Amino acid sequence: MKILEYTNIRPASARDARGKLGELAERYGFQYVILDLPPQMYHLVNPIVTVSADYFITPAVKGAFSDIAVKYMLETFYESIRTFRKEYSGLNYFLGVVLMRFHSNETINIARVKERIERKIREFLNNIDIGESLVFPQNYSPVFNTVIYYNSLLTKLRGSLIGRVPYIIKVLTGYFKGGGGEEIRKKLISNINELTEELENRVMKFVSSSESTGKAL
Amino acid sequence: MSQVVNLPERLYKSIEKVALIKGVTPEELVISILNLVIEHIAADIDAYYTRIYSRAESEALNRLKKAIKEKEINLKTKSPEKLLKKYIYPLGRLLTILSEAYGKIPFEVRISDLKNKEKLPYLVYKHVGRVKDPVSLIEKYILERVRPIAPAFGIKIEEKDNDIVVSFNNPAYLESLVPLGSRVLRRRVRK
Repeated sequence: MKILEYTNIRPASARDARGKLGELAERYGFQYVILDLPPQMYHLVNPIVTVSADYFITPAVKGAFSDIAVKYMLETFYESIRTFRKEYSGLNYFLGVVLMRFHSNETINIARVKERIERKIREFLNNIDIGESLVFPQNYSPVFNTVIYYNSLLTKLRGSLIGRVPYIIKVLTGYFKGGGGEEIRKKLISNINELTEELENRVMKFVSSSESTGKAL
Repeated sequence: MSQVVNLPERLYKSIEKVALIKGVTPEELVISILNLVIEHIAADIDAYYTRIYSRAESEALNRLKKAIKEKEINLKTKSPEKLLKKYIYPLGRLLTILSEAYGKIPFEVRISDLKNKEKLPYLVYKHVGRVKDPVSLIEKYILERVRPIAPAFGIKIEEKDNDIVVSFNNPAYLESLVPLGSRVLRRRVRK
């Protein structure tokens, strides 16, 4: 974990990245900017996320190790906050975990994985005194109620290279008609809509709770 | 603090050979190599900071000019130098102080909250200079310097029962203007 202190990315350049993202949002009128980062390079990714992002959210796919992976991710992230934001507290908000790739009829499996992940997060919180360095959801579960169900279009997306217009945008706008028909596309859109609504609700809850306590966001 | 480092034998032999060719001792050669490397690194850092600084300056100025043209704000001063000196540098300083006091620029700042920050006098000294009353200086910056140009940068300033509330529309964007307020950076760039 100490490797974070010797990483190549300086906090100053990560803050630069935040400014540039802000400029992008200003230019194109974005409300949210989402950074999709690879999980394989935690030691490079974490400094950027710690300094340049306000909230973070993590997916957990259907699998035996997903709960442990979430715990390790949180530990690495916490270590990174301690290194890069020593003097400040309450700046990094963890929105929650989104379950993915489950089939819609797997209700028992979903409940089981949800419970396991919640237990692991509780374990993490009990073992380390995080104080206010990382803010967790308090009034609701750290696992999202929305589950992104298995969709053949999403499987196709994973294999496609990123072009000028990302494949997902083509699917959502209806430009791409193939890949299993209109029904699957509609399912995916309604699933994504559900997730966006919950995400927005969670962000708004954090905003309103921090306003009442007078904390900086 | 000095530290003795043993060079690997092969490396030492190579250095000895080069030193022999140059007609200096191996120690002098090592020092000259280190100097050269440090000079290069310093030049790189300087170039990086100059780029950040000049970019922030031109970005802020362009935005201000655009706002004046579109009649979003009304200012008497029109020349770029005066605009920079009177409005943009104080805005940069304010943003730098806020970002260092809170860790990043918050969505909303209350002066009453800022007053309680222990670091505030030190931050004002660091970025502005010796000042008798740091809080009144910040109030002056907000009310006299930032208020006239506030709409151009998505800033709202309200006075509520003896308190000033400053809210930012896009704090991440304003963080790109932070280099303008850094006194250390400004001095470094102008050398």
